[in-house]
Amino acid sequence: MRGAGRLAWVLTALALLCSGCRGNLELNELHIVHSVGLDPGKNGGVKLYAEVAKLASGQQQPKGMQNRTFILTSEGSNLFEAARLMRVKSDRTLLWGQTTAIVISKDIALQGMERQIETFRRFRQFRNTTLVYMVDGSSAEVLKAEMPNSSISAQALRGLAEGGESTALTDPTSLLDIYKDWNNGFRDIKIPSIKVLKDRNGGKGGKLLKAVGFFAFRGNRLAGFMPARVSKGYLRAADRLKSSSEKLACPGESGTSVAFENTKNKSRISVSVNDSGIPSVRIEVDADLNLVGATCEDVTVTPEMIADWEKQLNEEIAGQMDDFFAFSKRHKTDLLGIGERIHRKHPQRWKQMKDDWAEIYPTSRFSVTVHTRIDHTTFTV
Amino acid sequence: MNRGQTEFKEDLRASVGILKELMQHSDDLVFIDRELASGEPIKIAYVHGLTDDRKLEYLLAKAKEFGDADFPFGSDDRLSTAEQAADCLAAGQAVLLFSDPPGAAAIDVLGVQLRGVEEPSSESTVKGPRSGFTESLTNNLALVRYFCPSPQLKVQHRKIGRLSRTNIAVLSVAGVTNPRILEELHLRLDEITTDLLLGSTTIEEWIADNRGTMFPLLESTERPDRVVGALMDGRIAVMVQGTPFVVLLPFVFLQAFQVGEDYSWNYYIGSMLRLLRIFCGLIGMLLPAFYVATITFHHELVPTALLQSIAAAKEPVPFPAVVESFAMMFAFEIMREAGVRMPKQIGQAVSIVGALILGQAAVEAGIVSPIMVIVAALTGICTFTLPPTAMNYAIRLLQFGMTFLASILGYVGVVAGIVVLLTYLASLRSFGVPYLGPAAPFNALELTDVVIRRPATWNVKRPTLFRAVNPYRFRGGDK
Repeated sequence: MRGAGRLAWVLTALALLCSGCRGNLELNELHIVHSVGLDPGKNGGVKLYAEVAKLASGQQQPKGMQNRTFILTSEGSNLFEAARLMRVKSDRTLLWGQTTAIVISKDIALQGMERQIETFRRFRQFRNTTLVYMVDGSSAEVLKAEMPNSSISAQALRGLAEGGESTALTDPTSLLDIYKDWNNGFRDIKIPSIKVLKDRNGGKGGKLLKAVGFFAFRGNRLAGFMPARVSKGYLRAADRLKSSSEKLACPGESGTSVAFENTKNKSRISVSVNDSGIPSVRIEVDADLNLVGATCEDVTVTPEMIADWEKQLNEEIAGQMDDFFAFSKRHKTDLLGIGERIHRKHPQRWKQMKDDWAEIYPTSRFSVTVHTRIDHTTFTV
Repeated sequence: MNRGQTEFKEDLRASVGILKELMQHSDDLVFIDRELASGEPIKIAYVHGLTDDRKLEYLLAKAKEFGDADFPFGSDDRLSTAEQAADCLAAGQAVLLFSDPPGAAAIDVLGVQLRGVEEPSSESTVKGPRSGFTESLTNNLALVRYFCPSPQLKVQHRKIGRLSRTNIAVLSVAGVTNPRILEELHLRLDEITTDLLLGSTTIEEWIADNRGTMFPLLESTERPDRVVGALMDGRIAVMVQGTPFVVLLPFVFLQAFQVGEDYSWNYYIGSMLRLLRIFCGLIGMLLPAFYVATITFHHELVPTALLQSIAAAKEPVPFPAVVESFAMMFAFEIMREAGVRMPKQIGQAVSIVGALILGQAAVEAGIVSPIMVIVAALTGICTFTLPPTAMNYAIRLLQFGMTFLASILGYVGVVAGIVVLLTYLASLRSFGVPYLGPAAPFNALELTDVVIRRPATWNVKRPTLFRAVNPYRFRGGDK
């Protein structure tokens, strides 16, 4: 009996040793992938780029995220094959799980995003919080760009996404956001756009990144690019705007303006469908702003002037949203999930509408009411 | 008269011969001739060096003034056999031999040079009583009585050790201590058949419920305030002559994270310190394991910037993380042990050489990564926050086991280790008290006073774990 017990212990220990040892990898056997780029390859394939940080040599102090990077490239008929084939150019196993951002070329999206999204969903290594960007051009250019103080472009991409909170010109979009909208079908998806700029100040031909606007999708297909003003209108309507800046022209002057900081934006959407089956969308926006600067000749702030500014800001904000509605109707992209709202409010009507929703949506009537309030003038007399 | 016992003779020289024989003709055995007031010759025997000179001189000077049964010193006790007299001599008493009628009496003149009451170095405090026990059983008992002058405090003396005949004292509080636990303790003490009882650890090993465990099932302390606190909880103290460490029983796992000083501070501070110690205990046991598991199995869980820093630091190190971890933990244990054993004057040099030169050189040589040095140092420092009981050492040993499990199975191994450990701890008993109490079996009310320190006014009841006869410390209106 005792012998059997000992044998059981030995077998258990062996089982533990045999089963566990394969799963471990030492850090100096790995390349940490920070960002991934996707370009179209030959014959409908995919060209994959991986940005890997170089590690300091033994005699140098560890630099963490200040290390230089190098780009690994591979091509395959699909994303998985390209990722697997990348190992033939890499002396170490690639660790995909730390990928901060995925940059997808617009050309890939034009071929249809479904295949790529499906592949990403099956890739268990990627975090759900991995940011997704799209670029008009080669994604490799984005990965090679160097921002000041962040030689790893993945960190620059994360920083730019966070900057959207104050500019309202971009919005962080993660793989999970895309999976969610893709699977639920509540609304069409949008992916933030990234641009590569020449760094004129650097003087060494360096490149900078700029995150402005979104690429909007209509189902699986790329619908169009939303420029800055349209993007701001979208974020306002979708109640995703946290802070932004607005400006108004000084009355009777050219080249001067009054600047405002938008500190709060709250929007409420209500939908209805009339007897002829045309959706009506009513959006109410409450916006709080502070006066932060004025280059006008006379900046004496009076209650009348504040009331006038509030009126002008109402028009300005409504104009931004109208631009967005015009864009979404033109490209038939339901980014606000109007269809789903009708589905929830009028389920019976939705049954009749859902098959023709792509045609019905552009006929929707949007009305916007903006209630602007200027809280602080921050000017002392 | 029992068999094998020798009676005293009418001839004092014969009695002296018997005693010399029993004391192995030791050269330090001294016999002095004196006469009582009645003119009866007597012999006074004592062991040179074991006696208090002043008491002995007084005895010798005054002997002739006393009657044959009138002695000025404490425990005068008539001895009926020579073996008893030999035991008394060995214990430092003076023995008076009489011829008419033949007999003897023992007088306590013990006087060994002992250190005074000092603050115990192993349980020092910032705030609270600073007295600690010494090697003298009498002094230790006096200290407890000083801290708790209650007539209900009961002391029972015993002698243990076939050869050493070491005095021990069992302390309990009548009306509080559970008599069944006390009875069980005496039964276990009866079973001790060792010839030598040296220190309290031998007693612990003899009377513990499970002698094969590395976890302490009994507590050991040098502080009288802690002993009094334990007695009032319904626990029992065992004091041993010749050691400042007093054994407290029963003992449960979570008490290892308590120190008496908790009650010297405001309950918010006391609670914070207790939580900190529990947290440090967890870090001390699990941090190297989690580090090894994370950087060899679960790289995805580390924030990117941190992983990049760790990877950059680990880049020149040629060893696997587990080897690095074991090396650092082993080196730390060596330095700690060297620091304890070295004379104080050079102990500082050891710590400086160990910490600064070895650590820095090892990092610069690329043998270990700086992050591993931080992990090993933090782990070591965390274990020092725990009271220096055997639990401290047990946790250090567990570090190695947990790290090994982490190295072969990652977090699964660590979790498996924790589950096995908790199961094992739940199976242990200390004098019948579940070792994981009051966490398992769960008692929320009592757990609050173990994990945090409750205000004294809330502690109406004693812990039920120790099955005190009177469960209440106080009731409303009691004075």
